[in-house]
Amino acid sequence: MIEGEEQLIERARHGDKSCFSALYDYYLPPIYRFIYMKVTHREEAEDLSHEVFLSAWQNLTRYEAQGFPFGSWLYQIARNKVIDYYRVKKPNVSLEHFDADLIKAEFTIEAKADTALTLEGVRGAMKQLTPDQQDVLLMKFMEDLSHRDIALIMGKSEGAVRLIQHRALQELKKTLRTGEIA
Amino acid sequence: MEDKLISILKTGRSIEPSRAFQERSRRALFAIPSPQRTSESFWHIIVRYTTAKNTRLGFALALATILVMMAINNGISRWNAAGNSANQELLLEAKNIEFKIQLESANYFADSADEVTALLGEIKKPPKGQSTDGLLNKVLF
Repeated sequence: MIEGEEQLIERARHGDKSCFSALYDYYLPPIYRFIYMKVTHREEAEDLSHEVFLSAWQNLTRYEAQGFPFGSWLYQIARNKVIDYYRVKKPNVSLEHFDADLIKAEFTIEAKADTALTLEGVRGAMKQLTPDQQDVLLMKFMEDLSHRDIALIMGKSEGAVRLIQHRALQELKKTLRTGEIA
Repeated sequence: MEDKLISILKTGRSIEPSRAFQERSRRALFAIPSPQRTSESFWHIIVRYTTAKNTRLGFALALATILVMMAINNGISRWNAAGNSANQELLLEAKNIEFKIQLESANYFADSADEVTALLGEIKKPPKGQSTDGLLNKVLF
């Protein structure tokens, strides 16, 4: 959470662009990362990230703090944007963007030597997970959000989030061991 | 392996949007009019005060609103009650008028029936010196 966030939001709500700009600078990188890990291309991640902040800027007057961090609200918007993106466009992730054979080979090596895993390999394997499982892993391990914050963003209990995280890791390990990719 | 996965995911923190995109997006974002809060509803103000720092003022506003609404509601009820009694008086008056009209009609029909019976008897047996046509004219006109 950025220092003086409440004041920044309040002033931005009254049209102060510099305050929203400060919020934008702080939250753009995590929101962009979150989206980038869930879509195929960098350009798509850029477009969706822009849409997230555009929605936030246009609907800022409707945002009420109520103990809900501003970042959580942005993640909620980002999740909805990604859902809409996949609803409109059927993903053809592995064939278009990832070299399936390369990743498969990489997984096999990893299973033996536990050395060859890369972020791109994990990103590819994560496409096998459900959207909720992906979100939990990204928010927990990439953005270091607490289970409480993730639960708030996803509208689930903390227990449910822990369970999703456990299942996601198991599923990801299984995918990487067998080398199954989309 | 789990630790390895987690550490790889953590390396994702190095992913950053390009400066060019950041500037382009920012320019596009602020090219649209600022979303100034034009008019905040009364309940929004109450909720904001209640949930933010000034809890006492929020509750005072909420209580005042409830009292005002109760007063308005009470006024409306009394108005309706007064309106209802006036309506009932009107209905009673209307019923009385109808009743009087019905009685007058009954009297008229009772009187005219006797006269018609007498005249019909005369037509049946006309007195000497009077024609049936003359009697019929008397009955009809």
